[in-house]
Amino acid sequence: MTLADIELPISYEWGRNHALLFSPALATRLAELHAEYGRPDCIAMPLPITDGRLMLTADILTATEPGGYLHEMWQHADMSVLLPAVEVVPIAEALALLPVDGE
Amino acid sequence: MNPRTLRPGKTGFNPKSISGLVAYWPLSEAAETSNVTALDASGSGLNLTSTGALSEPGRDGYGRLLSVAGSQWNPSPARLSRGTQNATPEWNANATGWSVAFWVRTDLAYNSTGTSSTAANIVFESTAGGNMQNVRFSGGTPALGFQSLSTRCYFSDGSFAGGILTGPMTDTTPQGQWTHMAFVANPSALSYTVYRNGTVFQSYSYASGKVLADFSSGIACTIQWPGTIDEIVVYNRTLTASEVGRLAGIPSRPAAASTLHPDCRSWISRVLAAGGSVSSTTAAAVSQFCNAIDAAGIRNKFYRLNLFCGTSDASLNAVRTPLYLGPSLSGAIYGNTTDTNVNFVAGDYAETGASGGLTGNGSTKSLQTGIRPDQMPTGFESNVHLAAYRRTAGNGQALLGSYYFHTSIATDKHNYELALDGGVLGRESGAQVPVGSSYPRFTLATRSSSSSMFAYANGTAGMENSNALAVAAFGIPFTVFARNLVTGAPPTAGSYGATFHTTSTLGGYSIGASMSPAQVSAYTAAMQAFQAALSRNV
Repeated sequence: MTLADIELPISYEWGRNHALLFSPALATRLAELHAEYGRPDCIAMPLPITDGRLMLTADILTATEPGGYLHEMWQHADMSVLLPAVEVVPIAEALALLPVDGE
Repeated sequence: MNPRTLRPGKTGFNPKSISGLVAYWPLSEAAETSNVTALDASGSGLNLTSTGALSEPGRDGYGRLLSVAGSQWNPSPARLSRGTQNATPEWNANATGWSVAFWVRTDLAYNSTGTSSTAANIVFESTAGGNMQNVRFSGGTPALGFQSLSTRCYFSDGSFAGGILTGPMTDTTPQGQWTHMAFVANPSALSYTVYRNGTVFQSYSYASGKVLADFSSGIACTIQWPGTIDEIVVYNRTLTASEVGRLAGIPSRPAAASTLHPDCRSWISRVLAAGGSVSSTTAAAVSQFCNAIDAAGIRNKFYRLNLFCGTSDASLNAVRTPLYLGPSLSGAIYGNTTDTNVNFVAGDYAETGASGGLTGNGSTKSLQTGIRPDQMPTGFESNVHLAAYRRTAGNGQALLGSYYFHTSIATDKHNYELALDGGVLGRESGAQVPVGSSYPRFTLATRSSSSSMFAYANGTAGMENSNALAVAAFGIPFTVFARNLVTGAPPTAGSYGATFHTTSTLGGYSIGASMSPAQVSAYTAAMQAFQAALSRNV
C-alpha cells in the first residue's frame, strides 16, 4: 500500500498507528522543498531503517493540512511522483526495521 | 493624502503570522475629508479606494472604515473598492476554503430613516461563472453578518435569491462596543463557522458547491449603515479556532493584567511573536509558577525551563517556547529561543486534562533545545540539575539528554541524561529515584559536587550516588524526548543524532544549576501546582 491508496486527510489516531517508508532520494527532494517553503524551527526528520530507506510516523501527514508547518512544502510537491513512492505500513512493521539504538 | 505607516493589528497581533493571508486592510490611514486609499498590508497589493469622507475613529482611535458620524445616517454611502474588477480571481475558495474577519461596532439603532433593504453594509464580492457571489455583512437581503435593526446574523451565498444556510441566528452584540467577527468556510466539511470575539458563535452546513468562489473585486460598502468596521483580514483557507482567537486578541488578554510576573509577560510576548497564543487561565498559572520560583529564591537555578503549555496550534508555537531562557530575565540566554520541533504534530499535544502535555512516540519525535553543556556557566559539570515532569511512564527511555560516548575509553561516557528511574550527570551511571516511585512523576537529578548526585521523584530523594565526575562538559546539545548522541572521538559538537526516544507524556523540563533538598522541594511544589492549575493530574 502506498500513499496513493490512502484517502487524505488522515486522522491523528490512524497516523500514530502507521508509518511512511520512502527512499533517500525522495527524502532529499522533500528536504529541498522544506528548505524553500518550510520553517527552520519545525522540521520533519525521517529515521533511517535497516533496509536503506527512511521512516516517519504517518501522523506527520496531519502537518501537511492547511495551517500545518508542512503545508506549503506539501503544496509544492509533485503528488504524481510522491504519493506512489511512499509505502504505508503498520507502525509495528516499521519499528521492526529500526536499527538498535547504540550507546 | 499620505497614509500612515501601517502597523500590526489593534490587538497587537500581526495577521501576517498566520499563513494564507490574502488581504489585510488595517485601515490606519489618516483621517481625511476626501477619498482615501486603504493600503493592503498583506503584500497582495489589493489596495482599495474610498468614496466619501471617512472620519470616524477606529478601534485604536485613528483607523476607521464605513461609518456615519453623529446621530444621522451618512447621506453618502461610504465605499471601499478596487475600482475595477480583477479578471483573475485571487484564489479558488471552493478548493481551499476561506476566512474573513474584522472588528465591528454598531453605533445607532436602526430607525425609520432607513429600511431593511438599505441596511447592507460590507460586501466581499466577485463574479464567478456569471453568478454574482459575495459575502454581505448585514443587510435586508440574505447576507453574512449582522445588522443593527434586529440584531440578527444572516448567511447567504450572496446570490440575493435566498440563503444557502438556515438562519437568521440570534445576535446579542451590544451597540457601541467593538466586537470581533470571523467567518470561516470549510469546503471539505461543507460548513461555515461564525466566531464572535474568538469563540464559536454558530456553525452551519451547506450544500456542495455553495461556497464563495473567489475574491476578484475586493470589498465594498455600498449602503448607509450606522456603525464602523475596522481591521479587515481575508485568508485563502479555513482558519482554526486558535487562529481566529489570535485575530480576536485573545492572546492579548493576559497582557491586560499588569500583575503578571515579568517572566510570564516575557514568555507571552515570545509566544505571540512565534505565532502562538495563551489563554488567560494559562497566563495566570504561569505567573503563579514564576512567583513561587521567585519566593523560593531559585530563579537563578534555571538556564532553561519549558512548561509545555499554551494554546494548541498546528506548529506547536506556544508549546515550543520556553518560559526561562537563562538564569535571569535580562541576562544571558542559552540555546535556541524556541525548541525546534522534530516530527511532533498538533495531535501530540493537549494543554489540559488527563492527557495534558506533549507526548513522544518512542521513535522519531524530539525537541532540539540548542543548549550545550560546554556553553553553560563555568563549573556546570559539578553544579547541574536536569528535570522533567513525566506524566506517563512510557517506555522508560530518555526524557532529555546530551551524550558523548568516547569509544576508545569504555568507561569515559560523558552523559547528561534523565531516563529510566534516575539521572546521569557527567559520567556513565547515575543516581536513582526511590524504588517504587509512581506516576505522574516529577523527576529531578542534581549534582552539587564532583562526587555527589541525587535523583528525586516528586520531591523525595533516592540514595546518594558518589561516583566521581568523569570529565568536563562537551558540545552536544540537549534534546528532549530523546538524547542526542555522538559516538567516537574527540568530543566535539559534530554530527549527533537523537536516540533512545521516549513515549512518555511530559509536562515540562528544565536544565540548570544544582539544587539543595529544600530547593528541590520548592521547585516540585511549584511544578505540581502549575500542573494542577491546568487540570493535569499530579
